Amino acid sequence: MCGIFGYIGHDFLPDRLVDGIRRLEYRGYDSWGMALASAGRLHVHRATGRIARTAPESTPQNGFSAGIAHTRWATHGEPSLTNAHPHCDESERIAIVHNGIIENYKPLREKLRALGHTFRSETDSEVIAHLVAQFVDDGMDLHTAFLEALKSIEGTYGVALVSTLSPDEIMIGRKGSPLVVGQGDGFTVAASDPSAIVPFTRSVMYMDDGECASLTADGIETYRLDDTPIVKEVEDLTFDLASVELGGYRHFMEKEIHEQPQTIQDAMRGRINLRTGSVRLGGIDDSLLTRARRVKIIACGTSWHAALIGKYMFESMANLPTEVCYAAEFRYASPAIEPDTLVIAISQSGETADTLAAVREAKRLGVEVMGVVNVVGSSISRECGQGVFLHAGPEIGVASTKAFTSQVVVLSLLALKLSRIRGMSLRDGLVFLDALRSLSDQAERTLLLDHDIAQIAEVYSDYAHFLYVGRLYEYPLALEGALKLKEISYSHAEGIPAAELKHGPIALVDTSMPVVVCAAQTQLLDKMISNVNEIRARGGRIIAIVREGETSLDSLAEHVIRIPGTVDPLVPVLGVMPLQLLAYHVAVNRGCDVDRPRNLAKSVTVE
Amino acid sequence: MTIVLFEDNQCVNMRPAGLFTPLYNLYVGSLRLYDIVEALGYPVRTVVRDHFIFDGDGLPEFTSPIDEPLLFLNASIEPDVRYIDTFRHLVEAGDPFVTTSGNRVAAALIPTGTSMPKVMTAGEVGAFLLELDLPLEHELFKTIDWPHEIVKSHLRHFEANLDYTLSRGSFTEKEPGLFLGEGVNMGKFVSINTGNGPVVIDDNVTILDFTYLDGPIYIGKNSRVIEHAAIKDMSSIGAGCKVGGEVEASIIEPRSNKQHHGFLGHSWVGRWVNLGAGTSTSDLKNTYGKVSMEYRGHRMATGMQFLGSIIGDYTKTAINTSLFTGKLVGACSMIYGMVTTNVPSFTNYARSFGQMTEVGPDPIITTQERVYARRDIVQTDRDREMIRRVYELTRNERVIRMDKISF
Repeated sequence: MCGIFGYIGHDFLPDRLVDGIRRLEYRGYDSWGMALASAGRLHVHRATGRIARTAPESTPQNGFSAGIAHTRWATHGEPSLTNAHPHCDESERIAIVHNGIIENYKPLREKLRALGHTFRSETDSEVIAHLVAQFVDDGMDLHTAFLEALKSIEGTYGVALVSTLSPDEIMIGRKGSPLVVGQGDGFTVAASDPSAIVPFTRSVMYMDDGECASLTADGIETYRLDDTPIVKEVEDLTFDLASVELGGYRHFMEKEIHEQPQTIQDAMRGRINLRTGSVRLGGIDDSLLTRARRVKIIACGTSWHAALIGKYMFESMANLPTEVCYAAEFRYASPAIEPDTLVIAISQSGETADTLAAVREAKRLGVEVMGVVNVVGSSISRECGQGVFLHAGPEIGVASTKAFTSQVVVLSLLALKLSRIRGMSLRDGLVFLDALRSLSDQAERTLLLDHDIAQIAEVYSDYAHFLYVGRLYEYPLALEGALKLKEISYSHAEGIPAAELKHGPIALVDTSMPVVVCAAQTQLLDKMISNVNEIRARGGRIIAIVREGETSLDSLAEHVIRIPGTVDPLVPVLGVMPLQLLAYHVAVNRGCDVDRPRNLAKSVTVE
Repeated sequence: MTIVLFEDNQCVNMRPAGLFTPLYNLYVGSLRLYDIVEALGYPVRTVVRDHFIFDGDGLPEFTSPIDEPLLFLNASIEPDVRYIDTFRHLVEAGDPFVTTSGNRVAAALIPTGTSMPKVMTAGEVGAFLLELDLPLEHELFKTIDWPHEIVKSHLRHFEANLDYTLSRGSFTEKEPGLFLGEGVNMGKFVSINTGNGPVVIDDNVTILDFTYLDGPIYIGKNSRVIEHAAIKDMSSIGAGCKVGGEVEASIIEPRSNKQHHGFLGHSWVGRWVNLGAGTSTSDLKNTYGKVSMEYRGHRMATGMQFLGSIIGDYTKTAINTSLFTGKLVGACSMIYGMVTTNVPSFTNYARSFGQMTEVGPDPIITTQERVYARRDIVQTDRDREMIRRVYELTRNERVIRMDKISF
């Protein structure tokens, strides 16, 4: 996700743009830029890296009444000056800033190229400026051209436009990416979230999908894409400045947990192909997948848990032998790699030193590697050269949450593509796609359990030891749940396969041992019930996670958390959320620093 | 309600079947998919591959908009008479759905007013239907995806389809299990066995003396069964054929000839084929193992112990041609000697004599004109153009010289 900001007013100064966009820096910070509009020209400034404290010295202080600014989190195109927003048309009459993903940007770009347009960047966003310019050249007025351009786009946008053709106006539009407008005395502001508006005014309007607005210094006109005027309600912002970057959440981790319905969708956006019952992964050569006879996945920490889920998927769905390796072990253990092995490196930050070193070792051994990474332009993504980005946006909390679910979603896309290549029927492919497309809504429903889980956490906040158990797809879930609790609440927790309990760990179970039982799959529920009975017989306190409608553990577990049902490979995507919330609330109750746990770094760039 | 029969881009896998006629015209157990669809009584439109030319004898092309619900049916759905009830039930329920078979869209019902392109090509329909994101039904219909599945499907559905054919036509049960259409000319010394199923002989068929007919079998209108022939075990002879020798568990499409001795077993023979005297197909390996077919360089296990040959339209075999088990013979080819490999379309195949060359469209056109004349049919521009188009379409099957064959 990126951040956009616009300011128009009689008191316009470039520093107001900088002030506004700096408040959105948490949304993305690999590059930034701004554009000021007058009747004669646009002044555009772009830079890589963090946002400056003030507008550059070269920025004219007079002669402009409107400007837009952008802070970037790269999705299409590396972080670079060329790809930084704002983007302009060739004649620099129109500048836009955009937050979102344009799914059909490639065919639009080709059409515009055929009409003589030359593109400066690799971004999807740039097509918007060229589209508006083309429609203006076709004879439309700027207002109509802007609406037509938005109608041509498939995907998501929160977009702001300034132009020399109408220098006393900022045009904005929203579909799928947030946009808020604030009005003050002699000025109007627009931003991706209220955190950038609060310093200027507390009177805001929240734009809804399919809505646009024309902002002037003295007013706002709102309308739909079909140009029908609409009346929007003006609301008063109530939260204080200190918390606005968190959007009302107490911690970034809490915010990122609750972003998962959106990030799950973003991980799939533009990749689902109903025509073939499979997926499109533009960042990988298909021959890499058709040639694969076995898979090795390299990862660390939470990414390693996602990798383990991937292994189960690749083997059960695509019948592809898969091994999961800790990156540091892979690097030093002289791995035996056979021809036609597909090596996948998973890393949220793309800078994890152990994983980067393992990728280099794999390449040294003559193997092609693909990456599953969140940060565009990161070292691992560049070293791999091909792969799939998560599009999860910046993950600021040290304990990984939304990156994990996005990794599992991306691995499921890969598993589906491999399965369809290797004989899965069209119908089975469509059924799996249906389950994937339902995940976002199901995640929203799962997160409604937050309050119930907070109450469960109250009961267990003082316990020192926890066990997490699961089978098959829920075994890695047990590992991840235990890790989350360890990371942020400093409680000791251990995840084990449920069947392993009886081979030793059950000796630990007594009344002081809470056991989190992950049992939401359709498979092996009867075996899990046996495990629960074994735990119960020894006095263990059981928190069970089951699928909606399942009641067989109600009389056996002390607490039952019900999550929406989905196909077994995708259960971890929903099942992890109660575990994340449980860890979060236990940590908060213990007064731990949830976003900055002791002894941990967000990206482990040392070996 | 309008029914749209559509071909898709997997029709290429069915070659040589479907080169000269859309796949909804393929006979399985005496019925075509078109016959089954026609029984529903709704208007039928089609989306077929580009190379077809129709001379007033094709079905109307599908163009939108049509102000009715549309039932799309893949032209490769196997002609199973029991699907008539399923189609009827789905139409009456009226609930939009899409259903698949293997990797293909098999059928879909879309409501009135669904936005769609005015015209779609055969390759576009399946993708269009999937992108509508309709409720996905279980696999309701099976498609015939590879040529050997024609024979498999035929054997599976023959008896039920034959019962339906009997119920539709005006047959007289001359003796238990023997059903004759009008104008049948039966020789004095014909041996009939209906112990395993009916013998159904359609209008104006001539059965000469000393033939053996072992049901269940079907013999199509205006056909002729030559003396000493044995037609048995779920064989289906199309209209206007002349058949002699031994025919077992095979389908012969309309207008083909196998007039003399020779064994045809578990095979599919296209239209306007002539199998010379003594031509025989092997349908059982020496090892009695399961037969594999080779399709475009890849071997595919068929799961069938008995499988003969697939022979495309307009192909001619010389005397004593011997086709080994599980062979694919293209359309418009001239076959000599032993056939131990697949044969592309438009090929002079004399491999056992060391020669295999391409035959161009002109000799095939000339031969067709002569063959048609024997049946009082006048060759048209459409006929000639179709041969040229199929020649071009199948060009990549052949990588052989254009030398004339010589003995």
